[in-house]
Amino acid sequence: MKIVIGGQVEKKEMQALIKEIDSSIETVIKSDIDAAMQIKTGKADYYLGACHTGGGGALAMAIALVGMDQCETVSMPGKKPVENKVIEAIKSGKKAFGFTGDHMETAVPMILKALKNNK
Amino acid sequence: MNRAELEERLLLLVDQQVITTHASDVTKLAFERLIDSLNVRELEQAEMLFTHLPTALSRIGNGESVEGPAPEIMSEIKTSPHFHLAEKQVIFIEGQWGKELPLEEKEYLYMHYTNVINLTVEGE
Repeated sequence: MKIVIGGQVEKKEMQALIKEIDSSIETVIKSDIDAAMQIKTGKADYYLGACHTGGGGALAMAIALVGMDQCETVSMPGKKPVENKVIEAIKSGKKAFGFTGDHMETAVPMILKALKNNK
Repeated sequence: MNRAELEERLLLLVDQQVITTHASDVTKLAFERLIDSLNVRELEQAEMLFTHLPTALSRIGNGESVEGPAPEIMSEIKTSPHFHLAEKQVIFIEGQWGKELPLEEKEYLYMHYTNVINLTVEGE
């Protein structure tokens, strides 16, 4: 599985966290536009991105390039990630996930667990 | 980020209806205002601000709201030597937008503007 890290903040920290959870996952850090293009062209399987509000810088370009139906805002300020919603998003085929930087430690393991269980 | 890069970004977002045309127009004016204020042609690491701004304006236009940044973050931002200029940019945006923005949204803009001004003026 290949995950492209887009969004706007915490990119290196997110990459380290993914590797810590599952070192077999291939990761690459890109700009938000380039990361979304990786999904659009099938060069990466999933997109993770963070910003301060979860749906702006984290996901806006992914929504524009791969479509709203492929994107899920996992958290926003004051709205923590909800596991059932993440599982549903992955089951429905969504590929791009945005969240706030301060929820990264919760959101990333939740998304990776749901992806693993969806295989 | 230069003017052409901003245009490309906004065009994609408007084309796919992620942001409104009005939000895009206000964002272009805000970009021009900031480069004029700083007397530069490009802004350092401004992608986050100029993606956040039109999506925030579109969100506000849709009647959606968010919680503001943590108070301790805002306290730190207010100590920045660039905070006053950031405030002036946000006042300009409100003028172009046509009404006052919610405080929570303004606080995120102060944060982004202070960061971009700092990076552009003082370097990384």
